[in-house]
Amino acid sequence: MDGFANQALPSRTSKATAAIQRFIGGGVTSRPTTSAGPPAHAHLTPSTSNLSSFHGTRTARYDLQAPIQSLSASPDQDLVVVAGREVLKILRVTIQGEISDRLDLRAGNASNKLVANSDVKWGCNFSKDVIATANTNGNICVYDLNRGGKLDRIMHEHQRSVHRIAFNPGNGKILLSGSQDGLMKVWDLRQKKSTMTLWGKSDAVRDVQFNPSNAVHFAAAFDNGTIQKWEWRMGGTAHSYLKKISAHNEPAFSIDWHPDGKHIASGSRDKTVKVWDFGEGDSQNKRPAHTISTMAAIGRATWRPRGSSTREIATCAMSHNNRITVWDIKRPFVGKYAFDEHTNAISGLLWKDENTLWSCSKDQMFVQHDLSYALHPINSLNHSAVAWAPDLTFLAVMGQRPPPPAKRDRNVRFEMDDEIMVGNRKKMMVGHIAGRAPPKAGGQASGIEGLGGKYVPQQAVVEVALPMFSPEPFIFMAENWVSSLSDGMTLSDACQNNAQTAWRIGQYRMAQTWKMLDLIQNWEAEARQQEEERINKEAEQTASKIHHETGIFARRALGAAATDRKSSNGSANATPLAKPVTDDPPPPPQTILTPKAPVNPSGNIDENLSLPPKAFGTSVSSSTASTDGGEGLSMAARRGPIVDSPPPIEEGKEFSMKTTDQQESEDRITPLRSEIFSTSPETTFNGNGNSKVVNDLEVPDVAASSSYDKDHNKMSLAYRGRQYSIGLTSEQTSSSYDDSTNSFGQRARLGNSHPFHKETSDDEDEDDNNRGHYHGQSHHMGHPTTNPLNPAARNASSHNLKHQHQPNTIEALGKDMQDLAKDFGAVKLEGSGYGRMKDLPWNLQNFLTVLTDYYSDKGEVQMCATLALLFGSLVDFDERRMGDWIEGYVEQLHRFKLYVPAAEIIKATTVEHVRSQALTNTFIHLNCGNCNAPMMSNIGGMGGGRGSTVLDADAAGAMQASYKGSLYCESCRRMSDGCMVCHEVVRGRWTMCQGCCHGGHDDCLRQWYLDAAMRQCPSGCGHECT
Amino acid sequence: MARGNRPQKLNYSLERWMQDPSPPLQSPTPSKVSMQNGPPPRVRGAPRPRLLLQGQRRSGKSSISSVVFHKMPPTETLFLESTTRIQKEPVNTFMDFQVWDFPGQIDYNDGTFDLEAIFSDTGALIYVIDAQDEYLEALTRLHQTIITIQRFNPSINVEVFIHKVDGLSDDFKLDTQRDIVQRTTDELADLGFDSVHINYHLTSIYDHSIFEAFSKVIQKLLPELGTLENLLNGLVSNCRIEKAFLFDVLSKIYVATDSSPVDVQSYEICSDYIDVVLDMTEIYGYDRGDSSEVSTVEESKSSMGSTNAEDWSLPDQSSVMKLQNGMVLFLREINNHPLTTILWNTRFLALICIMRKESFEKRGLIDYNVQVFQQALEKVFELHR
Repeated sequence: MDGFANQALPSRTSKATAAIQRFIGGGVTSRPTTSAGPPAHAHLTPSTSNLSSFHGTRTARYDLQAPIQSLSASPDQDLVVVAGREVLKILRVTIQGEISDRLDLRAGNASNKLVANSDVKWGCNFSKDVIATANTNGNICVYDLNRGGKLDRIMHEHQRSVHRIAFNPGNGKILLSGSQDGLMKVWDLRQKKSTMTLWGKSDAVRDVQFNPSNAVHFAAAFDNGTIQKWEWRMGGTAHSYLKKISAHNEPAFSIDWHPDGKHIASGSRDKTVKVWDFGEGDSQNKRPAHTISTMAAIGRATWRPRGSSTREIATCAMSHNNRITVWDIKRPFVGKYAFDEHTNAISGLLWKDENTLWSCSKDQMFVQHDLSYALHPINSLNHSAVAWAPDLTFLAVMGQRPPPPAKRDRNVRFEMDDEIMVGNRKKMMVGHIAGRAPPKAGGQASGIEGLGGKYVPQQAVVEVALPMFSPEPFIFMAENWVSSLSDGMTLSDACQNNAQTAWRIGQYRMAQTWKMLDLIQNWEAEARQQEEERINKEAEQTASKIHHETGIFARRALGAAATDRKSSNGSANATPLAKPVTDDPPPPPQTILTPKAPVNPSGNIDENLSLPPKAFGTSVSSSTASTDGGEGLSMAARRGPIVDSPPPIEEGKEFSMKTTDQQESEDRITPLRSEIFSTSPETTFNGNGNSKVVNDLEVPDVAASSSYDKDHNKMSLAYRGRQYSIGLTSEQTSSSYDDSTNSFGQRARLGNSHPFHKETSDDEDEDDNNRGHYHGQSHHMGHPTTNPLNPAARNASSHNLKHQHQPNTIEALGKDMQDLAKDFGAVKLEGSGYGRMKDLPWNLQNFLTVLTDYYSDKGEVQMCATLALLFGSLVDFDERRMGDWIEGYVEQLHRFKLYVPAAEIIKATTVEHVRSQALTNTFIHLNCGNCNAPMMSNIGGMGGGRGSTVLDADAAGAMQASYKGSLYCESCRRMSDGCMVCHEVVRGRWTMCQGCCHGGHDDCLRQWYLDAAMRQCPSGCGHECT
Repeated sequence: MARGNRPQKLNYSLERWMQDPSPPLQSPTPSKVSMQNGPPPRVRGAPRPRLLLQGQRRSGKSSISSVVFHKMPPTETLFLESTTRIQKEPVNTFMDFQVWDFPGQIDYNDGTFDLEAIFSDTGALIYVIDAQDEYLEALTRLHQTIITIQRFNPSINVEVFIHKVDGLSDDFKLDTQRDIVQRTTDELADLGFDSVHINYHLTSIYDHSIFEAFSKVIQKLLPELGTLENLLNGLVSNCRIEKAFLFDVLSKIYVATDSSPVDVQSYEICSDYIDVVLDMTEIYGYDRGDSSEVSTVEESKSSMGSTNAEDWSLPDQSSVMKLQNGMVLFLREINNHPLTTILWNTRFLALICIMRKESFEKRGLIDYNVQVFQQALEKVFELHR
């Protein structure tokens, strides 16, 4: 070993600098810290300077230029000796925190006899001037300070590294050493050889320490996690420990006696510090009195010297964590104080006094910490927590803490001990510190066992039940709603059932929704049927008419192209046509002029609304309006008269309203307004003059709304013309159509310059970026639109009612329903085809889109998911949203423990990732029928159910081949029950009766039940299986 | 000192092992190696140490031996067949020893076994107890075994592995251990065997604990352990190394370490490092001819760190890995003179040091000291000739 070259090359230079420093007055010796606590000389307000200077504690650092392994203080605590692999020095630490180099013990001694020190101890009473070091080669070196720190003697008996030495506090001539070889030796410095050798029958000894209050006892910590208590005087006679505790399940590295002499703290690699009762009593107490769980393996743990009732332990990690933490054993999860001064693993901890902690580290620093300037980890923690319950109540827990004290109270603050001390005690402690009185043991609980309980923080718990969501209807509906059509059930039945369920639970709006859906889908189904017939009929006709309609196609394509441009413009509401014209060549939009409507395509199109058919006069009036205003609004009726050409299915009779921007269009509309007002009498609207009045009354309030109204009027102007044409074509529907056109008028203007825009635009598509636009404008929603007469307005009104009260909606809904039904009836009478249906605003697609948008906005994921499941095959939903709804719904069901409905939903859905969830982790865990122990080795797949549960034992696979697996119970060591009939082992399929859980071979059971026509179970349990 | 032999020997170390995944496990004696390399035949006077693995059925004996000596991933051990006869597995690592995997069902007290032959030159008895199961029966067997063994070989090390503790909570682990220790101590005291020293280890194949326990077991069988440790201590203190391990690269057992406490992360990173080096050797290593004196230098790149070009003149395999946190891992194959490998197959040994970047700057010093360390090792082994 001596052949090793030594790396301590810089030590010579450091020695030189140290010497120079001594001459020039040690300019660099002590430097105030910059981290953690405030610099000592700053922040000293008059109120605290007294205390502070009294304590004389300042954080101070000293760089020793070599990693330090251990430190020890002289008995009068003004000198400290630090030892490392390459260093052994005595430092002087003054009260003010100035640290200076005092003596280098290595300097005067022959360096070849010095190897790395693993521990250093300063002697006590009779050996005040003695320093002993433990070396990694098994030596114990004793230095005599009276002779200038000369190496006095080397005691070499340990064959392996000595880890820790300890001077007996009662007799300083007695030295105890613990070594890697598992031995502890007691030395008398006056004798040449060790006086006794103790073997703990354990692993390497990591730490030894004498009991300070009863110096005949010492404790040792071992590498196998045990701690032992010995009495060294008995060493000659009884070579055994007094007490032994398997304290840790990993090596124990540190022990420290509590000042009361009865308890001991042990720190281990298993990241815990445990406090044990190590007193005289019976050793059967195998449980730690306290356990502190820390973040890293514990290197050292020492009690804070605070009298015999101290509850605080300073710990440092062995590696990977450079923080010193002071724990209160009553609060074992949050450190009370922390120091982050070091940059490498801390190797030594020593309390100078109650409020001053010395530490040394592998980062070559010796640091004096002042507890007054420690971090308080508790202060950086969050003291409140909030959790939601599935039924939307939430629970908030808040710790009740005093407000953080003002800065100048710093010194007092740490004595307040947070909340752990109770009131009067707090005061007493403060007083005692100020007065420097000795700790009064009587006033405090005696020792740490008196403080057995854990700290319980005072907390306020708040439970808030929000009226947003009531679980009962949800559960009821989840259990009773039809989400997938079973055999023989029609969509209509499902809707009616759901409506009834919702009605019964008082969810009237949902009930109405289902009723409406029922109507619509019935009607649409009929219409589709008729349409199919008609399409067949008209197949040849359409062929001949293609020529005729080219111009119309062109015009329609114009709209489509404009739509494209609009969406490419990135307008907030991209609204491609839901049913775009499929087979038209896209002509350049601006070169073609429509015959009737001079289209002035502006930059943006906000809306492409599908219109009801027979929009004969629409283009006339709308074009008038647009030309008049010069605003970017144009409508193109891209159809010939309906009487002439019955519509092919895909022909959307949309008119395009092209506006650049909401705001712009409003601006542009403004000059037009008076004119429109004058030219559009309210008499346009037959059935709903009231609501109209309401709207108009509110017009003056906001500019936006006035423009909207104007827009609205303009539209109604347009519709008047259309209505007119309707009247021409089918008289008997005029009144109902009046409503519907009215609704269209409203929808149109809503869509253009009003927050309700979203609903209408969503009629054409479900593009999500409408949403942002919609929310951006939602401040317009101040005006309740109480027009209950059409779906769009209904929707709008219910939207409004998010901000309003609910009954109104229900009323409105009721009326709405009636009117709607009337509408349907009327339309049905008219008997137009499915193609027309598709273009109607309340066709299934549009209606469902509106519904799901509305309900998803409301957060009614249940409704959305059910709708998506029921109508997913008829209507195109956005796949992603559908997935979100169903997933959310399933999750919600799970939270309410409604597993059966959840499973049904998963089964019914077509959304891939929801389904795939259900297909993973489907294990069956079996228990043995005899002993009820789990049978480990059988994880079979789901058995297919055919009335009775069939367990596919083949899934157990190869295990079964060796008569193991599902057939053999490891625990009770017998085969599981075989066939009830033949009592043979069942391999392959085991069929059982679900009533009595008995079963067996398929064939045997068939014979039993079918051939022999037995009714009862073959096992004789008396169950009537058939 | 037959310099030409060194590279030749290298072939049979890491690379060789990797090219032929389990030769030591399949060939009971290293015949192939000895033919080419020519180490003198084993001195029969020093018996091959034997480790007995015993325990109840399904307590995990075969799993332990598979994980430790066969590099089986712990999760795979679920599919191990139960052992039906005594599996004598020669483990040709740094020291030749045999692991005898006893089937749990066998009752060797029924007179059909030559207990003398089984136990007489056994170095250690490892008794595996399934901590997750009922262990009373196992304890009874353990007591019987101890008493039997005491008749034939009182100097045997009895090591009790309280196994499968990964499924237990920390408290329960300790309780289980306490209970087992208490029962065993009481029982043996009643029978008058209170001088038997038993070591208990909490182990699990899912973490390092089984390796650590095995390391301790094997270290106890090494008479040179103290010397090795002191050598390492010297190396560590003179090179400012944080931690040094002497690893057996095959089983990832550490044969010796310096006396500073072993912390889990250090051990784990070294063990992973060995894996990396072995894998790299497998990919980039080449079969060096007898005359070649160029050694392979592993340029392992850690995920974040960079690697410097290493000294190519070094005769031994070495590798350096720089970690992001300022630490450096240094691996050096301990490649002794072939004559010293009588009892010890040092070719499976590697020295791994963990040190700070600053300490690694003096690379020359470290290399020199490692060389000194190697020479010292040679001397230690020569003593055993």
